[in-house]
Amino acid sequence: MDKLLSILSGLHPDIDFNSHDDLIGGGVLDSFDIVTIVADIDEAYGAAIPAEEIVPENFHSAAALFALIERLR
Amino acid sequence: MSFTSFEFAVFLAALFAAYYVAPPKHRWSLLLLGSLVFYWFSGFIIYVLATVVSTYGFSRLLEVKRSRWIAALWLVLHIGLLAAVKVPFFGLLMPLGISFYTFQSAGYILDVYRKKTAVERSPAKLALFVSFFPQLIQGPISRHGDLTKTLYSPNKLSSDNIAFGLRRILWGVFKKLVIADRLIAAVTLMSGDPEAFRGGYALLNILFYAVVLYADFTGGIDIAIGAARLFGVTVTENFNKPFTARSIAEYWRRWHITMGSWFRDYLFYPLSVGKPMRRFSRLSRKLLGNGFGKRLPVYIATIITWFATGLWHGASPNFIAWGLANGMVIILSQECQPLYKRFHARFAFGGSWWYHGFTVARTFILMGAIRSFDIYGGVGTTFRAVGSIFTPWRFPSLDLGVGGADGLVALLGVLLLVIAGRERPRRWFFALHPAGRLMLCLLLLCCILVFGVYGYGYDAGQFIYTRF
Repeated sequence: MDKLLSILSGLHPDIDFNSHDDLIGGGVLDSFDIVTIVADIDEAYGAAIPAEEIVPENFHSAAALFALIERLR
Repeated sequence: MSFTSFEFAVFLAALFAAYYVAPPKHRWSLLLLGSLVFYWFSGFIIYVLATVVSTYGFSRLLEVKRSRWIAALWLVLHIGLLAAVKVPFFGLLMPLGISFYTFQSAGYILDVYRKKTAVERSPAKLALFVSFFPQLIQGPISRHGDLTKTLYSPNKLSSDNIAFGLRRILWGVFKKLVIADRLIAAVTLMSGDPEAFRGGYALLNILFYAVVLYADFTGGIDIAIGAARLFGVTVTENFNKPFTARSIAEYWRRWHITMGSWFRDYLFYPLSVGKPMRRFSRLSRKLLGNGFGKRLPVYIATIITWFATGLWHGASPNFIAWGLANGMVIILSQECQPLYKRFHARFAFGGSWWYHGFTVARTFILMGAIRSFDIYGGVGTTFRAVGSIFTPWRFPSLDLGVGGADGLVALLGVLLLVIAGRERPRRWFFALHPAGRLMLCLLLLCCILVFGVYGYGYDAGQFIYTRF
């Protein structure tokens, strides 16, 4: 989870990703961030997020994203 | 069989009667029979049948073995066939609606591969999904999971569905016959001779085409959605007030929605997060920094997606230019975001009604300019015609065939479209007593009978989007 948090804070240092749970609806992450996150997760965790998992529910919060990584690994 | 023909009305009435007389369990099979009859009279049925057989076979194979190669082979075969009939070089006649049912079937195959929808085990039911007649020739492009919620169910006769269906059909026929077919002769005339119809005429042509395309395409979709609802089948909406969009990106979330979301889900996302792009994203950030380096991979996916969207419309330079122009404007407006932000921080009118109006008008004009690649056909001709707008205007008196009464009817028709699109008149309409609503619908029917344009030229009543 630490690696994920560091990827996310690298993109938006001003956001507290531990508590934020509306990253998509709240307009924190845009499509550029999503593509960047997918590329970095692939490198950090060896988990390839497929296109069909690119849905808001998986990117709402760091916890949801981490659950997705766990599921894919 | 055109949606606005007398034959279609008879066909629809007969199928309607047969559907509700049949035992509920077998109702869906009448829709299949109807679809085959409809296509028999409209195009080369062999292509639809081949698509059904192959899609059925491949989806059952995917059920046994979920392999990306099986899905890829289907795509190569069918997108290849689509390309072959679209490229004039091969001299094949393009079967009606092939772009639409190929894409709908491709979505099904990919959804099966992604385990997003259940595999259809009945070949007849799959045949109905691929060939469902209201959306066979110009969309919407439905998703298997959405359409099949109501497609096979034993739908009961419901006054709500009948009222909704007939109202939508009537509204669609009004848009098509009273507005689109009234103005299209002028568009054809002006587009055919851009040297004579230059300057102000070119601008008028672009404006007319926006109205014609909107009335024609949304009218056709209204009829499709209405016809499906007569049988209790709900088809996804394809438009959401496109001319209220404030940017090109927003326009494409409102216009031909099912095509846009198809390209987004099955091309743009897979491209953006696929292995090559994941590698490229890391490289690009290393070389170009976290700003542009982060955006570049998405831009590349955007350009490829728009290139493909252009090709889908036609394998010719003008549609490729059209697609690329869309992509470029979207990217450019994204790159200008910091500029906009600074501008709005400095000047506080960002939320004012007139600035809102300005952005809507700007989008309308930009889309008009992009659309002229479609109007004029050739890329060079398009640039010359659009360029002529910025030269001194002369109005030699050329007959457009829409003078006097015709022009007035078209104008009133457009006015009615604008009014009907607004929230308050809609609420007023639906608050009326059913008898009042019926009276207004009959009035609309009278308008169609009196003011409808019947049989324009040799291509009577053909819808624009059926050529894609």
